[in-house]
Amino acid sequence: MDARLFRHAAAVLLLAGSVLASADQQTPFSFRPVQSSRYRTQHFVSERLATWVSAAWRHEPGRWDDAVQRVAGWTPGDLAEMLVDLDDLRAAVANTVRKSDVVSLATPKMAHEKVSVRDWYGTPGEAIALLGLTPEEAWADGLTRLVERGVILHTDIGVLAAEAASTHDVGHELSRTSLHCGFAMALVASLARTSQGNRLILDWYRSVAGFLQLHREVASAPLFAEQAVSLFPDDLFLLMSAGSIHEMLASPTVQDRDYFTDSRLSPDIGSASSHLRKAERFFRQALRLEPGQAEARVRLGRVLGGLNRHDEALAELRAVRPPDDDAFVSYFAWLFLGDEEASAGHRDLAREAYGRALGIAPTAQSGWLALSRLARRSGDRSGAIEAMRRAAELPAGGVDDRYDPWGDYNAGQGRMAPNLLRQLRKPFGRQP
Amino acid sequence: MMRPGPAWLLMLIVLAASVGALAQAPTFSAKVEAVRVDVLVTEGGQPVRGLGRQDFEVFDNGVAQQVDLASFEQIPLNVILVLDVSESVAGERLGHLRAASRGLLAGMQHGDQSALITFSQAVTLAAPLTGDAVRTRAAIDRIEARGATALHDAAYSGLVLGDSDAGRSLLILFTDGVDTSSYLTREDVLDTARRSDAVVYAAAVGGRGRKAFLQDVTRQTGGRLLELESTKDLEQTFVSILSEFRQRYLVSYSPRGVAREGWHELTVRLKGQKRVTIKARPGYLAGFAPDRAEPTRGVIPRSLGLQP
Repeated sequence: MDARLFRHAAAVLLLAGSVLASADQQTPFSFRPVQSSRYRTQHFVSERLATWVSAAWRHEPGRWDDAVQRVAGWTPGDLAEMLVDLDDLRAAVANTVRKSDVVSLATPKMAHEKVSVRDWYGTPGEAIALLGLTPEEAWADGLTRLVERGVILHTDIGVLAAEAASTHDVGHELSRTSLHCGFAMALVASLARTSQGNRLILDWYRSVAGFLQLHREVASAPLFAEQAVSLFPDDLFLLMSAGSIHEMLASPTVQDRDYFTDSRLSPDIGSASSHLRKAERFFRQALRLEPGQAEARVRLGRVLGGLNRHDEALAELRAVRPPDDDAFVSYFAWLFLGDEEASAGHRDLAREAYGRALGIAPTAQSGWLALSRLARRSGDRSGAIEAMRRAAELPAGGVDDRYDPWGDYNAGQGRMAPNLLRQLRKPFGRQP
Repeated sequence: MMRPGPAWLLMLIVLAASVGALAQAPTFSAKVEAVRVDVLVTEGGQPVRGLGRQDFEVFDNGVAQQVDLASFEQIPLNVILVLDVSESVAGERLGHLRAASRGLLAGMQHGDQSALITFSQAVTLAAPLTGDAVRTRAAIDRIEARGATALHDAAYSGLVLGDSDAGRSLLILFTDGVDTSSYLTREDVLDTARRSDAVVYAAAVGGRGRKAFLQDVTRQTGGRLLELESTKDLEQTFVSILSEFRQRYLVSYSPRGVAREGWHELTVRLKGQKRVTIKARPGYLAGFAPDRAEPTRGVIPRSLGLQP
């Protein structure tokens, strides 16, 4: 990804942010045009807009289809201008089409009467036709349906680009993911927050924040998650998502700047402690909503340990009741308890906790390596070697038989993203 | 995810037994009996041969030590290959990596041992430490590239394996990336490196990522980081590492006049020689923190089921 593209991606995200400020308006569209003479000179008669409308209506959710291909390569500048075009179109329809006009739109007089709305110059009939709607549909919330389909289109571009990214072009594809998810966020923000609309907005934020975390999109994942929490402050899933994203940003892998291979790609990541403190805030909020939430307490315990507040961490982790029906959470309840017991110098308790974790996931390398490290720190060289051998030996069924929950830990709530995305797309038709 | 069922319970019992067995394994003394330091002495880029223990000066935390031994090319080697086989290595790089590893094995001598650890998002002991090079070669032929990069976990495993045998251990760590999935941290590895006698040479290819971790782990063990443009000459690199390692002296002494525990800064010199270059680890870490008092029965929460 070149620096220009990155700047543009940031611009679209900023634009999305400015749009969010007006999210409470009740009109189907509420885009604010960018205050720039560059955009003022744009005309509505736009092939780009016609292409977008067609793609939004024709896109089959979840597929890299022709509609996606037409839009996926658009630059951040194209997308920013699209928002302005769409806003003009909305104004043309919403400000000029009244209920009484709908019928008359079909009349020759209305069809040829030119109206001027900001940069747009054309007839309402042309505007409605461009949207692929009938006049009746335009009045009956057809614009909202179009925007919702646009949300799915751009979310799919972002998601499918990230999924298709190989190791070598991951930076470029993830920037495309940020760009299109940012654009989708701008569209989401324009949707009226009716009870039905709320559901779509909530589902969208849950699935996209999770997806970005799953793909370690460290630059935009926190932005999406925190925006989501500001809109839905009492949603447990989003609180967990925001907390675990900050936990990921504090992880040694992300903090170790070796991870960012190109300075142009290096996002501005805060210190580990600043992210851990944010994570702590979100997990505590989650626990206030639901004190028995085991994963929130497990993650809180780990975060406190990361902040060197080991006594508090140990207290939280000892208070966890590992859920019988959630092996993932139970594994980490024991593993992190082992870490904190070891940190407190309680080696027998640490060994027992690690043993419990390995009882849940016997091939988990993280558990065996934790045992090996514990043995080594105790001066038990043969114990360290034996546990390392157990960590590194292949199960009878080969590498595919080895399961380590640690591989999914930093994905946080993102581990549920594939299912959430399926649910999000479901009302919009066919999926692969 | 683990599927619940009767097998789960059985596994738990077996595991508990094995963990118990680990707990009862004999422990080695934390006190330092003898310190071994691998030392490379060069002059004008060429190794200096023919030195004896009387030629070396060793200072442990600034205190001069009596060198007991300085041997050269006499002790068999444990060569541990720690190879990155993550997705980015697939294709031509993997071919070069296999060829380089085979070339290295061809340079092994009688009494030497080799081992192979591969890593992607998981670490695999593909061949244990063995004098049977055929076994290691067969493991090299089987390696496949896929997945993420657990560099720290792999480096830790290599260091632990290196300490499992009394021989001189050389770790050759190859990677084309940076850590993306380890459970263990950089600090865990460096702590282990400071307690280990193994020497780590790292061959890092490509411009992806900075190499701070590799610089640290090679420096702490007295090894070297070789940054490569491509894997084309990897075989030559591996062979030259082995050759350089064979040119090193193994210097040992029994520490006197210094505290047993903690960090020991090492200085190695040649008596009366100022133009030579000496490469050795900068120090070592000795001793272990004792167990702290554990909570009484009443403190352990019922939810954990840890009460006796």
